[in-house]
Amino acid sequence: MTLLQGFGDQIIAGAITTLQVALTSLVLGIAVGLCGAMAKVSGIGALRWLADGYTTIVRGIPELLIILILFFGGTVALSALFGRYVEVDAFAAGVFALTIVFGAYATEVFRAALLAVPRSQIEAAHALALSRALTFRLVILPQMWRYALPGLGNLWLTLLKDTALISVVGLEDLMRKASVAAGATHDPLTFYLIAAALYLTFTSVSLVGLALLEQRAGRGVRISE
Amino acid sequence: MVKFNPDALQSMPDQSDTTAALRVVDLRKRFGQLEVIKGLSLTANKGDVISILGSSGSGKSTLLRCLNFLEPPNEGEIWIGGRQIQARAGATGQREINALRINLGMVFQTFNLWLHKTVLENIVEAPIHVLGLSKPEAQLRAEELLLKVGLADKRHAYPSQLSGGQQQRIAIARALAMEPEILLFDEPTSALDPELVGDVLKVIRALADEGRTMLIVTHELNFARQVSNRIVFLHEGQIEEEGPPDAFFTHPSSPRVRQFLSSQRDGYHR
Ligand SMILES: Nc1ncnc2c1ncn2[C@@H]1O[C@H](COP(=O)(O)OP(=O)(O)O)[C@@H](O)[C@H]1O
Ligand SMILES: [Mg+2]
Repeated sequence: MTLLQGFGDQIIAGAITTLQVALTSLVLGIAVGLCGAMAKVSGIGALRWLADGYTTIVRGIPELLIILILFFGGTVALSALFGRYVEVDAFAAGVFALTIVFGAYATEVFRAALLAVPRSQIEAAHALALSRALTFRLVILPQMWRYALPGLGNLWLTLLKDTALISVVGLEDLMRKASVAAGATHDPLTFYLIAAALYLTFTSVSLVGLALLEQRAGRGVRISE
Repeated sequence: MVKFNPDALQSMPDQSDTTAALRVVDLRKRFGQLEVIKGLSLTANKGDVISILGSSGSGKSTLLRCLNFLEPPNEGEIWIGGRQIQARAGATGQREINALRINLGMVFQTFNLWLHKTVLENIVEAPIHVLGLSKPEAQLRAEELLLKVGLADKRHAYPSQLSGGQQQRIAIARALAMEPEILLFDEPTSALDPELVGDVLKVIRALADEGRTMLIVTHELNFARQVSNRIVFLHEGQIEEEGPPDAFFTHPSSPRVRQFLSSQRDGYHR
């Protein structure tokens, strides 16, 4: 293909890396967010304090700065630990940083969703002798999902696009591959447009998937509304 | 605090009280400074149907909710006869509370069916996860109960697709699926349109005829009179008067009860 001037494979590899970083961070970030939300609504003061500190700090600092701080901080820490210079893997650093960021915002989304589950739904489970863990799994989690999905969807779109920030620490993602190709071919517009089209494709597919998920999560509920 | 001691009944001498399905001794519940249940004692024998009456705010809901620890009581003892379970003042563990809850089926005023689950799923979850029934066993039990409450054709519906009366009958089936010793009803028909009340009362009446032990908080005075063998009238967290229905309704001794009954007469048609 003349349009890609031999950079097609590189762009595809970059796109795959972008998706890998984003999806891994999503899964880990959801886990962090759930833990954070439970910490926030738990009656345990120390846990709440920790979770509040976490979300306040992360949400108050630009994502790019968090990535840089974690990357260089990680390099310093690991080098000190092993007594020699250790270069942090860009993929791992990227996933770590994005998980931290996504987890903080997801904590707030899940917290609101947890509190939105009607008390009466939970009491019904308790009255039937379901344990706290079972009540969480069978009643709270599936119901809070419905309240959390729209917010999580927005966070996912942000996450997908934030992966581009990781290219500053050397991740060979779609953004970086595009800019390398742009520099090598002196044809930046073409490659940035291609990258933009790919990001847009990912986000569009996500929106469709999200709509389906929301439909599924709304089972049994929308009819009455 | 209320403490639970499963061995206590074994160590008790076998007394006349063995028929008591439920015994509540000196139960107290406070919300902050406000004492809502003030040292209440109550015994239900096996097969008793006890209607609990009282004006709004007298503590009827709180009493039922203390029995299964949806509101942990501050003081008192709760005995469930058949399964040798006792709760009394002191710290109560989650395991003990759950043992208590298995024996007390609760039906709420607002049904509280899980909205994200079908009728069948609502009924089978607790038997599977709490009682350890296999899925086919639990489903068989659920199907039988659905027949009993007359809603077998709704097994795959979601609660929001059902009328309030249907939802309440499902909620009753869900409680029955745990095969509890005692059923607790908290105003089971108060949230229903008048034309739907009858179907639910019919189901409860059938349960009474089976000889089930039940505590029913209700404002349906005619129903209470027909279905129960004892009426308990609550006032400010204490039993103001109790007795067999005919005596209670025809010549109550408490002026408060007389006043309550005359004030309720207007809505006393069913
Ligand atoms: N969770 C609660 N927190 C504080 N006060 C409560 C709570 N639940 C009930 N109460 C109070 O306890 C009293 C009895 O309430 P309740 O048991 O609901 O009465 P009833 O069911 O007879 O109408 C009322 O004064 C009510 O305001
Ligand atoms: Mg009430």
